[in-house]
Amino acid sequence: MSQLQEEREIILGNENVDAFDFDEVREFVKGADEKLFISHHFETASKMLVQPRGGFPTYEKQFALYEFFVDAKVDVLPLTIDSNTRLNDYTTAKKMLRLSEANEVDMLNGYPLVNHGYRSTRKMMTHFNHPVSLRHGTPDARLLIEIAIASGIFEIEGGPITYLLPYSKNFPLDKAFLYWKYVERVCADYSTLNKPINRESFGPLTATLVPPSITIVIQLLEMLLSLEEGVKSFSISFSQQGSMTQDIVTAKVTRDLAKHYAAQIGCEDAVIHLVYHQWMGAFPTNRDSADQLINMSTVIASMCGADKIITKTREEAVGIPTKEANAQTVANTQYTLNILSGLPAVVDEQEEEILCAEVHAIMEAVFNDPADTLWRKVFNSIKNGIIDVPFSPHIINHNKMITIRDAHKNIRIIERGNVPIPDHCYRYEKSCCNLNKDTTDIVNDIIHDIGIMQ
Amino acid sequence: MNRLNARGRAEAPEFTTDITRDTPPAVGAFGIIRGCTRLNPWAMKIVTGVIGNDIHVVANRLMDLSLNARGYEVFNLGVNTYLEEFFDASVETGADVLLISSLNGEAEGWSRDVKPLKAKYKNLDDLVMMIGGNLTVGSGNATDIIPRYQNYGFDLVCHQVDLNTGLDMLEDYLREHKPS
Repeated sequence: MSQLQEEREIILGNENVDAFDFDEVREFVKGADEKLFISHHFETASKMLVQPRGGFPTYEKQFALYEFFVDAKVDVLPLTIDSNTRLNDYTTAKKMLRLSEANEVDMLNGYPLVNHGYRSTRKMMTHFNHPVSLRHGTPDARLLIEIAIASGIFEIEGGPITYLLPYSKNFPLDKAFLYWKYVERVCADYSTLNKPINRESFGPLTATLVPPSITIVIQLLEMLLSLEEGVKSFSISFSQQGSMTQDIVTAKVTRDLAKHYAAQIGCEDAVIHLVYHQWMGAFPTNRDSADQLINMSTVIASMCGADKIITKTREEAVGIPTKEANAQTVANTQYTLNILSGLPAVVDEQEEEILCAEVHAIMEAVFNDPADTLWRKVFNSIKNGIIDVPFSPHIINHNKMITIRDAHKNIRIIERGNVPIPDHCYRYEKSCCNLNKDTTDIVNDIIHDIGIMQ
Repeated sequence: MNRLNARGRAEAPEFTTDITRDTPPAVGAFGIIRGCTRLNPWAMKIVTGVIGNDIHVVANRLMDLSLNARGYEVFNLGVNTYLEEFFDASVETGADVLLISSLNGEAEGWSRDVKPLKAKYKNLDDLVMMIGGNLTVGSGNATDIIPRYQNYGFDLVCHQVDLNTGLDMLEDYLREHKPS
């Protein structure tokens, strides 16, 4: 028995799993309808795929949500997981699920997939026969993704960096790398049976003034960590940044460099997709303003040529959205995509060149780390601040980089910390901003720059 | 470099002078030599962080920047910090000020333990205790909240006060109670 299979049997021996049947699950994936695979839709669709967010504790409510989504002409269904499951606390999730079922009150902020199990969840997934994307935020997602794939969920979001640095203070990063290696290997293994399982990275990170160079570097590194384990279908993503030009440039550079770095490790055969998240920062409380913001995001995603868009709702500032509001965004987004045509091609060569140079310089510094494997190089680079994510709560993050917006709302680096931003790029970034202010004013600017959409 | 003006605030930072520098600077963008202490009467040691199961990191980072800019030596414990960790860090660093913040409102529950816990530490009698942020779950008004927290053992209480006003209050307090 392979080492991976041994580990899988230990993971699936968990007391919350009801007799996992490896052979039956393999047969299911092998014979699954291609419509369940998002990789198939990426291959065949002639439009941007639309995917909302959403998860409810009970089977019935999740089912009802999907009915609303399907009526609204959804392309990809989400399955958002509750926060207890994300922290591997299946006992609390189980208790809260029982309470939710008994009282008609939602005691969880998502679907506790492990407690529901794959046998019943699969019934829902095959009933709707849509591709489903697993949305979670779990540093140790080994058990969760096993149950997801066995349920017919063939897109797995997340990664060791993007699901840790924005969400956790002290979950050990080295462990996260190893847990996600398991995820990549299981996805790669199942990908040989039918259409490939798609892996997606979570580009928004903290969604708070993260400069595009840091976003792209982390996307590329998670892509490489995934491809080197044999994954054949991967989505890189980022969220709306506040400036249309910066978004378009980011999309272009991300696509070009993803191809470049995938080829460098001999993975040209992997298919790379681009995913755009509608604004992930603080939302306006006014629902009509929120609708306008959402609509604008859709236009920018089109300008970026994204393959998939992930939507927000007009209730974002208020709390967990109702299924009605959620479905309405899907319908609105489909409408906008349908009427958008004749988009101009926007190119900003100077911005592209600067961003490319920054990404290459950081990637080179990561590769030059003396460690023997890629994940260790990345780990060391985060530890010593070569990669620095603004506003990450994690203790390993360096927190030396400082960013603000320029007059066009582009995110600019005004303090690079240990991140090896080349000097000419650093000079350019700073020259875009008015820095002749005292610190109090700069801090006030940062507060303003975080809340630009409110 | 680290001069403060009459309001105790750092002079304008030298953003524009390091354009030609090749290596990452030892001086932060905000004109503060990190780790350098007591260059001026107000260069005091301050321990800060967000209390409890609270992951609101943005204000915490901005506080860190602002305190550094005002010339404090800052020991930032970040989000999700428990009361013991605050006191341990205050002892370890010999802090002059402990500044606790809370955004999700759970500070009230933790604050009840401040006095008994602080009493267990031998040498924290001179520590200036400050708390700020959203100090209650739901709505409440400052006239009720402030005396309650003062009773819990805080010298300075800022409920929904903006960052710089709060830090000005701290400076006034220190000038009055801790003359150098």
